[in-house]
Amino acid sequence: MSEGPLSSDKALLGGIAAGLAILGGCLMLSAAVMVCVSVALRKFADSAVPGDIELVQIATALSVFAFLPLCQWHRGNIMVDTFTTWLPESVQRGLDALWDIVYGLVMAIVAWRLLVGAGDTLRSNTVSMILGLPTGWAIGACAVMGIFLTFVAFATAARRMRSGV
Amino acid sequence: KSGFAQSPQVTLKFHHFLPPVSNAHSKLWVPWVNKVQTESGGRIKIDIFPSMQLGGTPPQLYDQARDGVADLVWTLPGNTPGRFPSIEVMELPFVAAKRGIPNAKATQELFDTGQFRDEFAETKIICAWSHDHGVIHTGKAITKMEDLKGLKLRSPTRLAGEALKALGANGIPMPLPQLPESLAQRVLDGAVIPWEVVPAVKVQELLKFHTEIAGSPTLYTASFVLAMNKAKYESLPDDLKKVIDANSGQVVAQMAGQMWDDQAKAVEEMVRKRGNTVASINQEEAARWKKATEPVIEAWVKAAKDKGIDGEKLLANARALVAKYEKA
Amino acid sequence: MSTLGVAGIAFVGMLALIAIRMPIALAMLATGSLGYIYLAGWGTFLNYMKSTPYYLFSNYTLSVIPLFILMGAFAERSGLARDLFAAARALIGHMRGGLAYAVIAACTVFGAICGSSVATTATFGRAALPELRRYNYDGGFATGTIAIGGVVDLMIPPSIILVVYAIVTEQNIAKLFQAALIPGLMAVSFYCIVIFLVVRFRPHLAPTQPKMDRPERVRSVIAVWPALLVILLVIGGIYSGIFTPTEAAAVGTVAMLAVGLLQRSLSFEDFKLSFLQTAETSAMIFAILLGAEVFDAFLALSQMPQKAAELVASSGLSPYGIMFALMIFYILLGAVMDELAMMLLTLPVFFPIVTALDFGMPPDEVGIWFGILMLTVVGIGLTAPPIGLNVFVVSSIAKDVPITRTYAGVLPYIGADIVRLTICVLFPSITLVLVRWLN
Ligand code: NA
Ligand code: NA
Repeated sequence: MSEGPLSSDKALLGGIAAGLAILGGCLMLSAAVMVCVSVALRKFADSAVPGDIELVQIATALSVFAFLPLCQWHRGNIMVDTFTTWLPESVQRGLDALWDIVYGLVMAIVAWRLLVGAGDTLRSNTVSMILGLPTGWAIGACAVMGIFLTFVAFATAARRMRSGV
Repeated sequence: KSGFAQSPQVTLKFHHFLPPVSNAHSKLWVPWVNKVQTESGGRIKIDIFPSMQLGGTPPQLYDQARDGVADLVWTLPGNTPGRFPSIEVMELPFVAAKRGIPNAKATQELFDTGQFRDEFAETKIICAWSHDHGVIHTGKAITKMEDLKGLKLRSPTRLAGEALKALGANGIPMPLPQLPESLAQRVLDGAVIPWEVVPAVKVQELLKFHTEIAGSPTLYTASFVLAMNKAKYESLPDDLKKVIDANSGQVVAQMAGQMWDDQAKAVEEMVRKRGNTVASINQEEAARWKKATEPVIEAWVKAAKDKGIDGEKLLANARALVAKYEKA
Repeated sequence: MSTLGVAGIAFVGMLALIAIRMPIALAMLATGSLGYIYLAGWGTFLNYMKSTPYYLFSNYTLSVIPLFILMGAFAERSGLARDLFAAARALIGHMRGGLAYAVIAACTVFGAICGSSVATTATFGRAALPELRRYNYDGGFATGTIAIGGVVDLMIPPSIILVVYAIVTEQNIAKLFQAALIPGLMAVSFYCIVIFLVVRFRPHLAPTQPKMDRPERVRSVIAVWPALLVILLVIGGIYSGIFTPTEAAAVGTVAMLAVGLLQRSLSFEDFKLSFLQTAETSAMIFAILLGAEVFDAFLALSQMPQKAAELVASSGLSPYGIMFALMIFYILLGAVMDELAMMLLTLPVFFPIVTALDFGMPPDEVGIWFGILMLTVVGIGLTAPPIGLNVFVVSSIAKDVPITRTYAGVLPYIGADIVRLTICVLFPSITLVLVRWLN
């Protein structure tokens, strides 16, 4: 996990990934504030924010998909390099790039399926319990961020081969 | 293990959301599966995957049956609000009977007579049913409507939530596994669930008062379906289709209704033995509640109209069927 | 091929892929998917994936993971970890081994507002390690103590590992948090005993430092009131029933942010960096959760868990014998594997087995007890060679200390963990007494 000073990459994809992650963070923080308001209303006014639980659920799913590209951009998905230190540096790079491509392909499938799932969910009129928000749109938004994640994974593969990071 | 004449010809994956120790799993689905397997002479084998073992979450169950991710699923149409508006008729306040069997049979007959339109057309519905009366579980005694005012109660369905709101309480929908935590922390004042599921979420340890509604119809019920993948059903040879058919519809509704009724009795007795208070609001008070929740029904009829459903007719039919099976 | 054989091959294949640098989440997702496709077909797999990632992540209880991480990030960025360490140092730093005690003490308090063990290690690696090195603490002793500080955070609720355990096994989070408290404080005292013994027999590892004067000590201690306030708010809120442990994550995050803003210790840049840090750590965890979801669905299809249960049932071992065997298995597995992945991959197999065993208590108490035992073996796995995540993290910060020295430094603490684990296995009531008393 890269917890060090986050790189000042100026690359477009990296910038979008970071922006998306910050949006996701804001969404999560707004959800937290909303929960606080709901807790306060419950304590002092015998009411609550309508649909607070389902809002937190939607926010969590959207945030996670907003977080994933940045994690991949920094190649932050946890891996084990203990057993391959004896390999030449170029082979290690090649392996990492290969896995980035595989990750990109898997995420392409995930995004494609989510897109189909979003269509299905919209067609079946599935909505959230209290607020009646159409679930399909949230799934569709996750699919779009999944497509972006695929591009990021391919870009990191190229970057790893070219410059080693 | 058993002396089946033949090795299984088809293996079906049966997926549901409750753990294997639940009443529904051990007292309804295991017997049903055994019955099907035996009557097929061992040619049908059904593997039950409880606790969402095959992946996904409860709202996805129906689609899993539609898409063949599982061959059979047990689910609540209410898990995916907006998708199955017609079956909600059974969940309206003061429509369902007190006992489970009439509710189960009425729901199945509504389905059989095509009154849920084509809402379930994407799967083969083995059975559609509803459980027995829901009970209000609280930390204090409830004798009249005013006692509900401001109480935060976990509501099981969208419509039960509306009904509780009409009665002055706050209906808060919440996944069932969340319930014990919320009750223990006193974030909720109570829950509205049938007796059958009470031990599974340990409500009797956290709440001491259990309020039923005198007579029938009762405050609410929730509906279920057992759905099968359509292509899988069609792919069965005719004689095996017959085995499934013979274990569908009113046969299952009877088994399900019986299970909920038996458990209601057993759990109520257990709860009384612990020293908890089981009480009933009287007929007059129930009439007041019924009147107070009428706007919920009116709103539902109106919303149904926008979806092209003749809500009034559906409601009248539902009530008539509940009454018919209650007498039977 | 038997379905059991498929499960075996998938496990071996997954470990092999991890050994050749494939990210753990991807290895789980890829082998799980292939296994699923082999057993159920490509079309079924595609349908299964249509909405699974969305519904998996839109889980109410899982929302606490990014929030606990964000709360920890706000705390770190606003200098709270540094202040905590300074206060502990002011109080006990002058004793022999005092700075090491101070790390454990500060991590205990910080543990009550941070849910991520690795984040705590990284935080104190930055906040405390330079001080320890400045006073000529031995490199391995210093880094080892900081790595174990992360385990303290793990054992003190809230803890993300425990949240995930609660979700996967459908156990009550509030009860798990209660149950973790006594074993957590036990861990703290055992680590202090280790420090006491180490500095007694090898005093050159931890030179003493001068005692601070009284005003300075008072000032340092007063500086940590915000942390104590947030902790009081969160714990008080849970116990007085104002909010649930799930909501506590939201309240704590907002309170921590408020403290940071009011104290003006949290700049806009800090705020942004907190988000970025939270995004990366959360994404890493959720990617593993997705991999495990698919792998577990495949395992269920293979019916391997049921077969394993039958095997264990026919083994003739006593329940406690099985538990000890499991713990040894987990320590070995944890040494070479990521702990979150280890837990997610094995719980569907072992949890039903364990809760079906007769330990003379109800299954949900067994479930809670087993959760705390899991937490302990996860702690060992996070620090034990060859693959201990906390050790990696502290090594990446302390470039001048060879990783072998750090492993040597954590070894005595791991010894204490094994003693603690043995005690907790033999006496379940240590874990359960608080839960029984509070409920
Ligand atoms: Na913690
Ligand atoms: Na490890």
